[in-house]
Amino acid sequence: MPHMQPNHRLTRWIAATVCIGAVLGVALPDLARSQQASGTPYTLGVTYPLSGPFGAWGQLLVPAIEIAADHVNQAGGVNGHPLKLVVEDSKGNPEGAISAMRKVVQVDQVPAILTIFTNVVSAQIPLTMQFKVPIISPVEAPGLVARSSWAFAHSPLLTSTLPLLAEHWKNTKIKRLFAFFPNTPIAKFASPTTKAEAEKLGITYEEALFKLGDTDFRGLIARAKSFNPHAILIYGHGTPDEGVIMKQIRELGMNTPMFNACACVTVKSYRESAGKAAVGVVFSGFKYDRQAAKKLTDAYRAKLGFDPDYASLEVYDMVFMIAEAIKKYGYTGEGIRKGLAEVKDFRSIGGGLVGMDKDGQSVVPVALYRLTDVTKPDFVEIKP
Amino acid sequence: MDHIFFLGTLMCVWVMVCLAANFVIGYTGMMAMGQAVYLGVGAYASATLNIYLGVNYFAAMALAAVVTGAVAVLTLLPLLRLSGFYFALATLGLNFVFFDLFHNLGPRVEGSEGLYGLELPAALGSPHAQIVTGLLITIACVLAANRLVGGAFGRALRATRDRPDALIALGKNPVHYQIVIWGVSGALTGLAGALYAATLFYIDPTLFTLNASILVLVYVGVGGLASNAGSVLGAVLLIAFTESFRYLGLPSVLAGPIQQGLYGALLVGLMLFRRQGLVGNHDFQE
Amino acid sequence: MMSALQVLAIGFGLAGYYALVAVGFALIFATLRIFHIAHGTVFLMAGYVFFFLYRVGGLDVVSSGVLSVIVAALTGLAIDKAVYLPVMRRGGGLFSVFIASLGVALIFEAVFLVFTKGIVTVARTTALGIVSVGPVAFRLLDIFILGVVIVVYGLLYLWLHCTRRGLEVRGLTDNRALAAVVGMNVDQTRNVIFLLASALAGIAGVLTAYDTGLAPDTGSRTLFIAVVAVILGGVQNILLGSIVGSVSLGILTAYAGFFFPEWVTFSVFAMMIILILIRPRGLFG
Repeated sequence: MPHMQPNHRLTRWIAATVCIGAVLGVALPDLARSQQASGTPYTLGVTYPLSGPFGAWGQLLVPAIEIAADHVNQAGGVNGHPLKLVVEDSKGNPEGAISAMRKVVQVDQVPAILTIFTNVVSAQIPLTMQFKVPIISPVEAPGLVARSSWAFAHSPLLTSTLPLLAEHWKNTKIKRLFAFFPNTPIAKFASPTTKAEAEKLGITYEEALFKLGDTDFRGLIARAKSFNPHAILIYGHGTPDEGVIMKQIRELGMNTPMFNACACVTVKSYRESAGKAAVGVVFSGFKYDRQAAKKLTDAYRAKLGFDPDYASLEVYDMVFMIAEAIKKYGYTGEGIRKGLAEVKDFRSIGGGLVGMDKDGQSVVPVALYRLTDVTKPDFVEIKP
Repeated sequence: MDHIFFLGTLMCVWVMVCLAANFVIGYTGMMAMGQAVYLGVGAYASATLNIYLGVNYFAAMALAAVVTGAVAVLTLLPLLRLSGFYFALATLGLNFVFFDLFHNLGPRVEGSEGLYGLELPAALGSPHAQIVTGLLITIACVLAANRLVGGAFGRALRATRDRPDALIALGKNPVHYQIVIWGVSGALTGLAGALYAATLFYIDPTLFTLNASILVLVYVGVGGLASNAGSVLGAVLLIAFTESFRYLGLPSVLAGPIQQGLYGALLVGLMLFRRQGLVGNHDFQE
Repeated sequence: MMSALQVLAIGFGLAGYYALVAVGFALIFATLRIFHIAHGTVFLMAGYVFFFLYRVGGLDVVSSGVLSVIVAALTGLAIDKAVYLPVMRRGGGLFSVFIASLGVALIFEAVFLVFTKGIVTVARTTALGIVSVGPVAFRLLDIFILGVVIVVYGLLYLWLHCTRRGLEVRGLTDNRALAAVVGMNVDQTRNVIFLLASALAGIAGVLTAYDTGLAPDTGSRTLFIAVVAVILGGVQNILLGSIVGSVSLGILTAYAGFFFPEWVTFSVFAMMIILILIRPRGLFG
């Protein structure tokens, strides 16, 4: 290969610089324009994954957030101002999380953000304090939002949903319990919590951690099978993987009753992958009163063609919490933070009353359900 | 403006990774498909040194570069006996191996998937400072890269790629050059990883997957093989392209897929019409 | 002991899927030197078409399956005609075609994402049947898949060894240039290879859509496993290499899933790297 001539090389560098300049020239005026546009509507940021392996979450939950904003606006908005959402793709990873957050805060000037996922929230927490912009999400990781007074979570924790199941196990005389958790930080607290609860009831306990993203879990389930449990608990992030586990438990010839401690079986992908195997599953989770949620359910069904899951109720609530915070303390980051920290006796779309604890973690009503139809989905509240 | 500074620093990180990838892929003809592995090693090394051992961040960056260079050489040695395509596949497999290592063994903060809590010096503390520091480091890297590939060493690299027999006839060992450049490439990627951790302030294994390695391949391929200008151009243009998508006002649920589809079309188009990339000096050979 | 047998049964079930995708991939790679990443796309295409015909359209299972496999075969051929052939005509080598293939896979994945919103798609609405032999449970679907694999491999063996076209294909494996010199119609053989390999991926796609369901990234995931299987077995002997690679990989993943599930991917790729170090051309290379 011949040697490159110096002037040739110079031309290339000039070409490179010109190209970069051209791109920045196109991008910059756009930035400036969008900064001016924030006028009378009250804008909120939404940083959800919309593409990649976690894209389904954004595709399912952002519509519920949009419906909530519509409902606020139909009721006259917030102090006469309509709510407007700026939705950005967080891609479900830290780089996307921070890019999206910086964009909605520094370009669109939003004073509060709705977000999701443990790793996204972890990445955004340091910025919340720096920007003085609160974030609220449905993550279920204890201690995560306690790290910052600007981070909030609206979700039931395992410590509140597990006792309902334990009560049920006690009444049905379960003696051997096998639990499946994903090998993510969620297992770090789920495992000891469940173990302690089992010990309290004199239940023999065994567990296995599965890897998110695998497609076949039968090797792992064979381990559960050799343990010969009376009950199986599946608790995780609500990914379709957990639905596959439910199905494959049945496909290994086990008829053991299955339990879920986060209402994840109501999630569309979860239900699809579990199929009929999920019928009869007993789950405890966020209170989901079908009558109370009708307003959301109808709008959601019209938009997507099926019923919303429990997380849609949570994100719907969040928009109303923020709206009330603005009414109380004004349309600023500090005001919204103050308002969210003081949430008390808030009427959830799921029917219960919600309060916020000192860590910024909501205390939510929970209930026990049995899934009766997996496609619709349909479920009935049961007594433990 | 802070948003622009942040994006600028991100571009600096990826420019450095692309320079490093181009050393091995473009100049030396070694098909490296696991650049994200070394980015992750660098990021984890600097963050761990800083958070757990209290090492000053600039020192941690330098150490991360050294550590990553060493890890790179160690991973390369067993793979050296593989030729062309099997070599590429093995480096591709490294992505999966290291993802599980980061995920199962990497340090993490209570309750989260990854690591944060860096103690950054003032020169990396804010987006303004970061862009200045990042640009200085990147410019230094570009200048060093130009020197590296411009001189006798660069000629030897290209000879390793095109005429290994001629090199042997001159009494030089092509494998020697391959190991050295792989180590240099690893160290530079490790340095970029350290800057990446400082920019994001939080790292977790989802950042260092095959997707990131493929992205590097796309940046380098678009910019041009065996050209430092190509490395810079590819990373800067494509990141600007990606981020400008946020301003097009597309329906939020469509923006992600459209961008991904365009990336795909770009790859196909490139291979059809301009295999050497925008300003490349070489094209993908077997 | 019971668990050991159960895990072995699971491993063979997995091997069936791997074998169907792997043999097509190996066929293309060994004869045409194309690293067909978009083979996973063809697999997905069949699965989605099957879902659409069978579950949404209400067509019966056999016609939906056959139609989906035909669509898959045509998709594979179209990818070759529209992308690989032009790239190679313009002088592109193995890596150029590989990167173009990656581009094709990205485009299709994006399209699937738009249409499915990333939600898992399962074509089946009923529960899978199982038979229990003592404490070991077998899925009827797995037995069916293994049956399909035996038939497919048997037919492929006959085709490769007893027909003129098969002989030409084997000729390509050995020496491409020579095959062209002796006057065989490389272009036509190439079409047949793409149709056949894609149809096989299509069968696997239909079965997966029926079994665990599809997400837009299922294709690339399945393909990587198949690639590892092919590399384990080696590409010189297409049939033997693919089947031995698939079975060992199926058993490995099943046992890894049983003993150390968080290291499944690690063990698969670590094994691949170790094996190509020991035997760079595969077990039967």
